[in-house]
Amino acid sequence: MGYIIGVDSETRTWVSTRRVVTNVDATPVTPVIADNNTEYPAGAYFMKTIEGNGFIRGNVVQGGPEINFSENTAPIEDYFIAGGFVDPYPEDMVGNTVQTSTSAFVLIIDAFDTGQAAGLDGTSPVTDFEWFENVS
Amino acid sequence: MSIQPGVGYTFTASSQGSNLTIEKPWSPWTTYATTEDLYHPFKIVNVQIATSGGSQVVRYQVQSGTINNLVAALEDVTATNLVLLNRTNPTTGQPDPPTGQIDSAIYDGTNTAYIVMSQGPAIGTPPDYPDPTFSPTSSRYPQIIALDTIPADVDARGYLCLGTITVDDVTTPTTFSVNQFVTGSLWSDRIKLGTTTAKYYYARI
Repeated sequence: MGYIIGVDSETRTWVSTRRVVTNVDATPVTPVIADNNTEYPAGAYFMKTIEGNGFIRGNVVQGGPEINFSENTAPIEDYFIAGGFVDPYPEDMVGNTVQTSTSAFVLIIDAFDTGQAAGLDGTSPVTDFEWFENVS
Repeated sequence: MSIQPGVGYTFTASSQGSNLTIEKPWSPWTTYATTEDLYHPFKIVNVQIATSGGSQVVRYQVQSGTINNLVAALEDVTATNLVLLNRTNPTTGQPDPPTGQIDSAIYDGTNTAYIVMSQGPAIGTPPDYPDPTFSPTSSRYPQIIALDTIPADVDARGYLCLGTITVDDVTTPTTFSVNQFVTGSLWSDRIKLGTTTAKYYYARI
């Protein structure tokens, strides 16, 4: 028997097309995962689109999109990396502003590949990621 | 042999001979709203006006269909609770397939009743959606009922309008029309973001 859309937890098309962004450095919260039912708790750990229904398209192979802001101790260079973005395209997001509690920086294309240097005074987690906001 | 006048044809006779002219195909024998359509899951069928308790009501049936591989249920007028659309062994005296009834109170100002299917996540863990456990009084197992409006989705259940039945008069209907919106079995997902109301997504399979 083949898979009907929505059945398999890893490859189901519908979930891959309705993703939220995981803010990896925020305090984790546990989503509710059941058959054909997902609930993302409010908090900083998940971010939704400000416009539209809150979801973006994900990458079936890589999983959901996520952002990761690494603060080195002692700071040598902070790095911001965003992975798994399919739509919106990374190219379209270049120039957007990322805000942390103490700093802000503008996305360059490296953020979606090797990682982007993001200054020396960053404090995780990201508090504002343009086009996205915390699930509330 | 004699041919009587009828709908859709005319018969004429003269000294030159006899003529039978058929102007259009036969009208449906039954009161099906759209018998020309092929039957399909969730098709509203056998709509009829009946008398119940001294009042005229509209009764309807729905072709068996599934959502997430679950056969939906219908609020049956005789059983007065939920009955699966594919029931095979009805209790004596019960209609087969299950039959819904629309009282005049259901019709709103537009004389329209909405045939709505609702389903919600199971209570408890895991909260599978839709609730896979059927019982005659289940509140979240997929079920079909006639309502005067299409309710807004809530966390406990989503609502999908299968079609409408519109009558010419609320208290003494004599004719009706059916609009069918859903034409096949469905697959559905439920996703909830934070405190916002859960969103329900459907696709026909």
